[in-house]
Amino acid sequence: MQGGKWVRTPVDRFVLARLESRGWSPSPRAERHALIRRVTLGLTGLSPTFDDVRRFEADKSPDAWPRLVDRLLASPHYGEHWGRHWLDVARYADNKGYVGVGVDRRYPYSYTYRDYVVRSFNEDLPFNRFILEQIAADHLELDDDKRALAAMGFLTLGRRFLNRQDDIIDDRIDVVTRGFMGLTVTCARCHDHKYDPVPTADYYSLHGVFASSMEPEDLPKLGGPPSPHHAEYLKEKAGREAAIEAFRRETYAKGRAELRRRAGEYMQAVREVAREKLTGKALDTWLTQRKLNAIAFRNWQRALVRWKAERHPVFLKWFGAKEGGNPLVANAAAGKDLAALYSALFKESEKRWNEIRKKHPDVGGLPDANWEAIRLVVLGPGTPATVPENLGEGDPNSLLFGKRNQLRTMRSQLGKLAATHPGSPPRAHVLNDKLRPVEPYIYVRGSRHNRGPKVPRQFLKHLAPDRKPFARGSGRLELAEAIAHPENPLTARVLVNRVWAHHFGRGLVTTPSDFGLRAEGPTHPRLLDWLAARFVAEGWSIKKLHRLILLSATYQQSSMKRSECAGTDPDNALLWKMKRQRLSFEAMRDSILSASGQLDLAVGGRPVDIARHPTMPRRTLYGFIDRQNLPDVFRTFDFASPDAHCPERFENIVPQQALFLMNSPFLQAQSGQFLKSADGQGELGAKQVKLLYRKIHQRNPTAGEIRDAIAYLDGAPREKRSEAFAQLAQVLFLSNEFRFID
Amino acid sequence: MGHHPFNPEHLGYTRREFLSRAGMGLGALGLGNLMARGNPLLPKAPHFRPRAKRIIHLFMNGGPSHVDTFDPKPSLQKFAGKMLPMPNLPTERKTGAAFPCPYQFARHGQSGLPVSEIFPHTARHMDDICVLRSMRADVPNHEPSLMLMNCGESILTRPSMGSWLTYGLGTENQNLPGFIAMCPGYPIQESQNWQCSFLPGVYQGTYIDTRKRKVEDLIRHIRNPRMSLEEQRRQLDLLRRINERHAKARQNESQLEASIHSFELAYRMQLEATDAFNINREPEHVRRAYGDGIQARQILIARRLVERGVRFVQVWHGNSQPWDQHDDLETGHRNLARECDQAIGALLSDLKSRGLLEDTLVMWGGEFGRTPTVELPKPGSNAGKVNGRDHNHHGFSMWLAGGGVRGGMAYGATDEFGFRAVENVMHVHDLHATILHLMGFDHEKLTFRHAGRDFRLTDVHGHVVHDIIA
Repeated sequence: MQGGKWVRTPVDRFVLARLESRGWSPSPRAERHALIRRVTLGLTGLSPTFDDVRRFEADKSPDAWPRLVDRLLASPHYGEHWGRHWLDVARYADNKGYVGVGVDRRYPYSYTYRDYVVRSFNEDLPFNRFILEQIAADHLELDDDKRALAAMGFLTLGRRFLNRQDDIIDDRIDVVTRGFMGLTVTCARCHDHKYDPVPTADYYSLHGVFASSMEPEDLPKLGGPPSPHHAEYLKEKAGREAAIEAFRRETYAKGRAELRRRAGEYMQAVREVAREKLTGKALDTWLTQRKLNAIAFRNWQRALVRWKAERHPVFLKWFGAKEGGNPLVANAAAGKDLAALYSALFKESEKRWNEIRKKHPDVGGLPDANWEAIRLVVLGPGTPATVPENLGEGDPNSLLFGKRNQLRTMRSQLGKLAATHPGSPPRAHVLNDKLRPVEPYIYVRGSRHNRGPKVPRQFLKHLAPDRKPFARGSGRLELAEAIAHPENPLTARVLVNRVWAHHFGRGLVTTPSDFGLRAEGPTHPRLLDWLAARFVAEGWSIKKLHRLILLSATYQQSSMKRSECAGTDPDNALLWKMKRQRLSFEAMRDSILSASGQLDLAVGGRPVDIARHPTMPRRTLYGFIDRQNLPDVFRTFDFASPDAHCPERFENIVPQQALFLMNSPFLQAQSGQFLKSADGQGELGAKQVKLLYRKIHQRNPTAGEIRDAIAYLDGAPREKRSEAFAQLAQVLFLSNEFRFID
Repeated sequence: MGHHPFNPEHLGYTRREFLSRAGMGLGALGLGNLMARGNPLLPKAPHFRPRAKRIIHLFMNGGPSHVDTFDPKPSLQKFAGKMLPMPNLPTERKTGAAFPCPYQFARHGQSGLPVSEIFPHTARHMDDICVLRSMRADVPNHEPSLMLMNCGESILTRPSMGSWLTYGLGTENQNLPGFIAMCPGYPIQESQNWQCSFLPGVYQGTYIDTRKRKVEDLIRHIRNPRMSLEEQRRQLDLLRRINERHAKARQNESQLEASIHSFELAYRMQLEATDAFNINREPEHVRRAYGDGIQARQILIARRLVERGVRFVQVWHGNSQPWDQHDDLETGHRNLARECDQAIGALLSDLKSRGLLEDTLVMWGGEFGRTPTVELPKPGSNAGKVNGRDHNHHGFSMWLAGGGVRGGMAYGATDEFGFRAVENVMHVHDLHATILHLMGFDHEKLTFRHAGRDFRLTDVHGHVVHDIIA
C-alpha cells in the first residue's frame, strides 16, 4: 500500500515513519464488522447490536467512522467502561481488607467515588481538574453540588493494613505517584531510590503531606435532592440508635446493681488491702483475681477514709465502735462476717426503696431516717458503688467492658444501614487538613523510631528544581497543582500512554506506571511527546484524545498476523497491525447479559453482589469488590488486584476460565434465556439459530454454521431439543469469536 | 455409586480410555507448542536440581506450644509455680510463673528424638523428621505472624510462598490447580494467607472448605449440574469445530489455540479433580490408617493431590485459630493433637511407602509457639483460669520431613526454659530461603518486577540453612 495515502491523522505519520524505516507497510483496514465491534467494546465495554452493525456496514458516507466514534463517546456507558480503567489505577474496592476480627470492613460510601469517576469521564472533565479534585477537592471552591468531594476516594479507599498509619500513607503516596506520574516513589521509603532520582527526603516530604491530613469522623454529604427513602432511613437509623442506647443503659444498670450487691466485699477489700499494704501492680493483680472493679474499689477507699473521719453513723460499727451510730447497724446481730451484714443492710434498704417507689413514684427518700441513711450510701449522690459512664468500652473498668463485642456488632449494623439503605444520603470519603500540619522527618531505613533530619513538605526535587516548601495547610492542593502543572514532564505522557495502551493492548511505554530509568523507553517517543503536548493544548480533554487515536488508520488496521513482520516483531511493537485482545472479565460478563437480554443498564448506585447465583444483572462495574476475599471468578479472569495500584491487567488463558464458562450457573442461566425468546416460534431450527448468531455474534450465520447447529440439535433426543438449543447458545458464548476482539 | 456423578465406569469404559478419549483431537492441534503461550501454569524448571518437587504444609493455626510437643524443657519442672530465674520476655499478654509441660516426653527411633505423648503416631517417624527448635518470628500477634509465615512480610500485601512456587514452577498436572489451601472454615486473615498479591491471579491458592463433603461442593464449577459428560463432550466437540474454523481464518494464532486447548484441559480437570478429592476411592485399610474426622479426610486428600502433581498443598487445622490455647492448654492441646496425629503419621508412612517422601516436603507448625510461663488473667482477654500459655515468637518449633531434609535431627535450640531461640536461630525468612533452595531456587533470584522493583519472597533477608539438608 502507498504509505502517504494510508495516513489519516498525524498519529499515522509517526507510526508509518517507524514502519518504513524497516521497509514494512501497515496492515489494511479491518472489516467493518470487526471495526464496529472493536470500537464499541473499546469505548463502552459492551458489544454492538446486530442493528448497529448493519447500519454501520450500510453507511457509505465518508464520515461514518467519526460519527460512530462520536456517538459512542457520548454514550453514558463510555464513562462506565473508562471509569473502570481508572478504578484499576485507583485500586478501588468497597472494603478495607482485614482490620481485625469482627470489625466492620465496609466503606459505606465507596460507590460515590466510583460514580464520580464514571461521571467525570462521561462529562469529559479536564484531566488536570480531575487530578486536583482527587487529591484536594476539600481545598477547592465548590457550590452546593459537593459531588466532587467524593473524588478523594482516590486517596482514602485503599487497604488499611491493620490501621498502621505509615503503611496507609505509603499506599497513598504510591497511588498518587505511580497513578499520575508513573514514578515509583515508594521505593524511596527505606533508602534513596536505587535507579530513579528520588531521594528518601522526597518520600518523607510527601509523607508529611499525608500525615498532615486526616479523615473526619463525620463524612460530608454530597448534597443534591434527598432520596424518597430518606425518611424511612432516618426512622430505621433512629430505631437502631435507640436500641444501642437502651442496651448501654441496661448494661450500666446491671453493672451498678452488681456493685451495690457486692458493697460489703468492697469494704472488706479496702480493709485487707490496707492490712497487706498492697499498691501498684500487686494491688491491680489482687483486684483482678477477685474480679473487683478498680475504680469502684478506689471510690470505696476514699469514701471510707472520709466517713471514718466524719464518724459516719452507718460506719461506726465497721470502724470498731462497740455502740452508737445508726441503730439499724448497731443493733444488728453481727456474726463474724461484718461485711456480709453491711451487704444485707444495703440490700434491704434498696428493697424498701423499690417497694415504696412502686407506690409513690415521686417520693424523695425512705420515711425511716435510719434506713434512708443506709440507702444513701449505695444509692445516694456520690456513692462509691459506681463507675463513671464516660470510660471507653476498651477500659477494663468500664461497666460496658464485657459487652464490647455486642456494642461493636450493633454499631456495625448501624454502619451497614448507612452503607446499604437506599435512603441513606451519599457521603464522601474525604481527607481534611489537620489543624496543625506535621513537620516531617526522615525515618532512617524506613523506621519511624529511627529519626533522621527534618524535611519540609514539598514536591519532588527532580520534577521541580526551584521548588518551595508547601505553605497552605497540609500542602495537598500544592502537591496536586504540581502534578497537574502543564510543565510537569510526566503527568500528561503517563495519561496519554494509559489511554493508548487500552486501545492497542500495549502502551508506547510498556510499563504504564513506571516511566523510570529502568523501564524500557517508548517505542515511538516522538509520537508520545506529540500526543501529550496536544492533549495539554486541547485542555486536557480525554475525549479529544480518544478521537485523535481512534480516527487514525493505525487504529483501524486489521488484526491479521503477517509472517514477514511477526518473525522479528512478534509483540507488534511497531504497530504493523492491530493486536487481538481478549475480552476483560467485565466486558465478557456484560456482553453475555446484554445478548441474553438481561442486562440492567442503570448507571450508578450502591454496589451489588454479582458473584452469587442468581446474579444481579447490573453491569459488572457495580459488583461489590471485596478486597479481602475477592471472589474466585474475578481472579480467574485476571481482574485488577485491588490490593494496590494496578498498572495493567494480566491476560492469561487457564482452564479455570473454561470451567466457569462450561459449568457455572451464570452461563447456564444466560444461555437458557434464549429458549424464552424462541418460545412459541415453532420447532427450534434454522430461524432460531440465526437469531442466536445475531444476538451473540451480531451477524448472520453461514450456511455451514446453520448446518452444524441443526446437526447438533438433531443429535439430541427429541425431549432434550430445547436443552440442546440452550447448549448451542452457550457454545457461542464460549467461542473465541465472542471472547476475542479482532 | 450414584452420588459420584463422574465415575467414568458409568459410561462403559475405563478411566484411562476415558482420558484418552477426552483428549481426542489434541494431536491435530499440536499439544506441545500450543501450550507454549498463554498458559502461565505450564511446568517450568527451577534454577537448579531440586530436592523437593512439592510441599504439604500442615498449618497448626493459632500457635502450638513447642515445650509441650517437640522441645522438652525439664527445667520448667524445677521452677513449677515459681518465677523463672530470668525475666519473662515480653509477649502479647502478661505471663507469670513457670508452667511445666503437663505431658510425658519419650525418645523415639534410632535418633532418639524426644516427642511428647500427645503425638504418638508422629513419634514413630522421628528418624525421617527434622525438628527445627530455634524458629523465630517478629511479633507475638497472630495476624502479622500468619502473614510472615505465609508471605514473608507482616503487614504489607505480598504473595504467599505457594504463589511464588507456582509462579516459579508452574504445575505438574494441568488438570488440577497448582496451589491448594484446605481448611474447615477460614483461618483468620482468611484468603490473604494464600494470596497472590501482585502476581497474576492464576497463582492465588485455590481455597477448599473441607467442612463440605460432597466432591462437587469442594471445587467450584467442577461439574455441570445439568449435563452428562457425554452431552458435554458433544457440546465441546461443536465448540472445537467452530473455534477451529475461526482460528484457521486467523492463521491459528497462539492465543486462540491456547483458548481452544483450555477447554480440553478443563474437561479433563472435571474428571481428575473430582477423582482427586474423592477419598472413597482409597482402599478401606488406607482410610482406616488415616482415621476419622475432618483432619484425616483433608490430610488424605492432600496425599492424593501431591500424588497427582499438585505443587503446594496447605492443610489448615481449623477455623479461626484452634491452637491458640491461652486457657485449658492441657486438655486443649491433647484434643487437637488427637485430631491430627494419626493422620499425620499415616501420611508420612503412606508417602514413604509410595516413594513420594523423597521429593515431597512435609512441613508442620504454626505461626509461632507459646510461652513456657503461664498466662496471667487479664480482664477482657483471659478469664483467669491460669492454665494456658501466651503467644511466643522469640522461639518455637516446626518440623520438616522428606524433600531432601535430614531426618532424625533437631536443629537449633531454645534457652533452658524454651523462651527464646538461642542456638542456630532460624528466622522465618531463613526457613523460606531454605524451602526455596530445596525446591531448586536461589531465593534471591526468584523475583517479580512490581512497582519499579524486583520483589522476592525473602525481601532482603534469608539464609539457606544447609545443615538440615541431607
